[in-house]
Amino acid sequence: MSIRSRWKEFRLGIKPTLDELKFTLRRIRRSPLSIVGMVLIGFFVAIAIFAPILAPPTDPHDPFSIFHDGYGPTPRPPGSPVEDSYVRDLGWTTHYFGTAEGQLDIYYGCIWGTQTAFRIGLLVVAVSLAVGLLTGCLAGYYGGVIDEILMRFTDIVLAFPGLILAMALVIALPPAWSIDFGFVGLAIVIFLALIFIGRSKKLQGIWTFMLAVLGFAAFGTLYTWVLGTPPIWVQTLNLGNLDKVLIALALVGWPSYTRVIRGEILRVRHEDYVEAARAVGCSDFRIVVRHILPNAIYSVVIIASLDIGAIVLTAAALSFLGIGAPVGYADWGQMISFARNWIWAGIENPWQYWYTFTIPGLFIFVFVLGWNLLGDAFRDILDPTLRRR
Amino acid sequence: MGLREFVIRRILLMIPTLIGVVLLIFAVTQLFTPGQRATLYITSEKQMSRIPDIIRQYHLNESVLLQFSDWFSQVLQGNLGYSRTGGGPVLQVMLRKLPATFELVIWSIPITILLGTYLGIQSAVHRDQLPDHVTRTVSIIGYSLPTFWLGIMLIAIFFSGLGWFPPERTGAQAFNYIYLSGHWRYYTGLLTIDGLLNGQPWISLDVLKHMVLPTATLVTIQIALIIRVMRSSMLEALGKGYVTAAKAKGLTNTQVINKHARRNALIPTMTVAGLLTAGVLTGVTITETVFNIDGLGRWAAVAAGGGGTVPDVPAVLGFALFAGIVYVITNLIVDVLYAYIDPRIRLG
Amino acid sequence: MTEDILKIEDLRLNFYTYEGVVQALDGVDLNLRRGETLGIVGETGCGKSVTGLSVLVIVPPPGRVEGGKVLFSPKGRPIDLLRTREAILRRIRGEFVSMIFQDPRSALNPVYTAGDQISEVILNHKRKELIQRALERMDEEIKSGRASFLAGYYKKIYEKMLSNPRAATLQILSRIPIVRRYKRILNDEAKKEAVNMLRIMRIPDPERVVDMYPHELSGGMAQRVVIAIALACNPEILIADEPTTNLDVTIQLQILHLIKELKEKFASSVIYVTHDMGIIAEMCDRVAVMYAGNVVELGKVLEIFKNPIHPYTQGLLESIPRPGVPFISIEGTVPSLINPPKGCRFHNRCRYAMDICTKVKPEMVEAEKDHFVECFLHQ
Repeated sequence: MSIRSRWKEFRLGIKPTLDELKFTLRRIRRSPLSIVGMVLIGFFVAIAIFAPILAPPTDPHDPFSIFHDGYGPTPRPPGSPVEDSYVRDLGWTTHYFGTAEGQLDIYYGCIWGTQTAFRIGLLVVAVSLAVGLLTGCLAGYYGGVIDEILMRFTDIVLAFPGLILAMALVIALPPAWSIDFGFVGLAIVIFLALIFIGRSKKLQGIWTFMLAVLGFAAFGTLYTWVLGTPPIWVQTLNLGNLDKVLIALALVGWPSYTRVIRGEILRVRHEDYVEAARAVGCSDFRIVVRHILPNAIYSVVIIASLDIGAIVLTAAALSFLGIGAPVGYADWGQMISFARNWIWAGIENPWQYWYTFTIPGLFIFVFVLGWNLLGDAFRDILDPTLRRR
Repeated sequence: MGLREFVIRRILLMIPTLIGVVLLIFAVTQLFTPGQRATLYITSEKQMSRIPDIIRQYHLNESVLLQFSDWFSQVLQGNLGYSRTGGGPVLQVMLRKLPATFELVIWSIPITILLGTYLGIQSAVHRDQLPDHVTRTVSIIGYSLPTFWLGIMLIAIFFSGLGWFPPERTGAQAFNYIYLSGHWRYYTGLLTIDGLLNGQPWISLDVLKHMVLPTATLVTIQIALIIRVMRSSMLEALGKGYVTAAKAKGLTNTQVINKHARRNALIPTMTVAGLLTAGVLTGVTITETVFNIDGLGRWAAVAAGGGGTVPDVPAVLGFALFAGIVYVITNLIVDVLYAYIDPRIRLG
Repeated sequence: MTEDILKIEDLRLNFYTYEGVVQALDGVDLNLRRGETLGIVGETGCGKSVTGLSVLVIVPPPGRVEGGKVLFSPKGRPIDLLRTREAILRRIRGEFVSMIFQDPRSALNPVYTAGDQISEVILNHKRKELIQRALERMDEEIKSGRASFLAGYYKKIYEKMLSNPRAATLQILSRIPIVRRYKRILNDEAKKEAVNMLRIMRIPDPERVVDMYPHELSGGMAQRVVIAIALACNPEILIADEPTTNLDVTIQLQILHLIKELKEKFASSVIYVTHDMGIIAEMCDRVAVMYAGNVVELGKVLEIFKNPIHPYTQGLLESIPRPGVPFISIEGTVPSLINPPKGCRFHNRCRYAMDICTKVKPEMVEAEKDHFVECFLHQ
């Protein structure tokens, strides 16, 4: 066959997918909510990317610590001039949003807090998604004992309201851990590869699973033995105490994805086209990846985008309660936590220092709103039953 | 299958989950240092000095299984440790602080459900029209607000600004009467009801006034969930054959919506009631902190790190255990209600 | 010749969907004579179900009627149902015109018992009769001394319900939780009617079935319940929308016999919508053949079977499989109704297509006595 006819065939084969995509895009454009959501998120992405320009860090090695303009306890309103000469020399002249207790610049905190928020949201959701996808696929596809065990475990973690379990975990985790995403990523890849290999040699489902678990454990032991101590390859992010929050949130967050994927797989598993695929001899892996996941993935996308907002809210709540980011760290929730003091001391006149909590809170609200709008709009657009009305 | 068998089976299923909850809490305890874990076994302030003995006594440096049997037997006896921030044994502190939280929850959850279902139905019936857009916008905004921020803003606007609704649980006068005068009798622990039972209705009114803002905070955040689920299940019900059939019988639109579609739509909504509980438990933690209400939530928040550098471990774990058990039991109740209402499940 | 009880003139209906405007009905003309069974036959998508829904004016959105008349003449003077007030339509639906649906499982509400759903339509339309019957029963009970102490009050309430149903006192009383139990008497009367209907439907043990939920019923029983709902108020016109399509073949026969028998008993006029020519032959006096939103042929069943005039009808009858004869089918496929062909919608599949067929839509003409057709071969 000539290249031309091959190309033609390819284009014909891909046409339904493209048409569906075009239809989705058209619906996205027609839904004002999703556009608003995307604009809002784009706004924050811009802030995050241009943070070093919008708010040049006073300490280039530690851009996430908000600079102090003195150490006075009384907040100063927006527009106050910078007094510390060292800071002024670096280019800062006014506190655009004012200062919080301890003379921390609110503007700086909000700008760099955007980066923090993205990091928290995206990292936690990525890890939760990966783990949830894996466990959900295994539970849903293989069923039986594996399903029971995994679902019990999921139920147990889900039995705790997220914030509360996260609270317990954050204060429990020792301060010396750091995150190693390289390890997790590599382990998942090897795990999946083992499953694939297992299937193509025509092993039974449960044996494949055991083989995969063994492989995972072997890999972990090998890694640790070779490198001496628990893996320390950390991404070039200085997260400080925020590591504990991230770990806690990820540990608490994966079950929702497991549930959703498992539900979708169960729903799709008995559809005729899956039976047909099996009848022509597709391997399990192929069936899951090519037939089941594309139908199941919509719900996951929706939940993921809503989850980013929820994660940021929970992290902000943890910081507000004092167990999240440390004082002085560029995190929105952290900046509002000072408000706790004057609440518990007796509430007098919060409007006097409105800028200390209103402005960071606004940032949180709009950020989460953007993701929620997007997720909601996606739900309306991608839900197959509502699509064509 | 029949309702009775269903309930029995459901209760049996709950047991492993409860065990798992306990196990998970225990696993979390293992992440703490032995010194911290020792606080889970003491019952009074004085015993704090005896920590090294306690470590030895409960094998806190040794095998996990031994520790579990010790810890679990203590838990079964009601000893969840000593709470520094609460000033007493954990269980006692929880019981003391429970009424305040319960009162808040008793007001918030019904309002959320009633208002949420009503708005959800209106949203679905007027799909893509003004009521729908307004409701969905408002509910999404509510869902995106940080709970603590909403609370602070409400205080700032309605208390400092307008002076309508104060925070905390009672005003100064009522506080004196309840805690200091000696005339007060606790009947239920819920101040709104006790106020009436004590013959002092002004106290009930006072407490109600104080509860407006925290309830509004909780409702605003949680209502989006109910509205969303009710709307989508209502839309699904409205598309079903029996709706057309009902119209063909000559029923009015209201009758069709309320009698036929609504009852079917309520069924999936009930399953979300569990999530609602989780949301309320989380919300209560922050709301009580912001409004300075002396309930379980604020206690746990202070224990975790609001008070200083050293967390009050037994308090946080006690609260987590409580939350987990409450959630599991709530889900059981919801499942049973669901089975009862849907005749397809009730009659097998 | 008996008069028309229903006459549909030039009915046009569109569905406004994301993909475009579906011109579902393109000028449907047919008439139903008093006491007859009219069949509407056609392939899936030809618009036969929608025609039925249009008679009741309950076409769900995004459907909208764009023109035409639906003339209903229960007592001589016709009224156009498409231009009637909703309040009056609601009285007509269920009482004068009612419908049997295709899938009994989805037509019945899963959370209400069979009896509840039959009672519902009776309570809606025959309230006054039920109240009178309740009053008679209460009088009997009082006379024979078996009445409860509340009987006096109940009697007063029911008399009020008869004389002034919208009274304020009734509105209030009907909302107070325990007081509103007085409604039970009325519901019991309705339930008795429901049991009676189930008995007429040949359902064994109707007292038990009346309290069963739809998912507990077999397909055949569920369909009988749907029929019971439709006939409970003795309608003038019964529209049966493929009532046996979703049932087993053996049950199909029973239901068909039942409908025939009930028609005799209730003396209604019936519109029977189906895609099965066999059922048409068995059940109907006259038949309308529909294609792509038009009625292409209309006439007596025997006549059409013997002498089909429209090429589509001819093709339909030819394509019925017969032993020893090779399969014949009509060439081509049903056109998309978003962009329907101009002129006669059948022209691109018609072996006799002429030039005019591609440009102009043919009118309905009486080609032979009482045998109408929309085709330029006979103009």
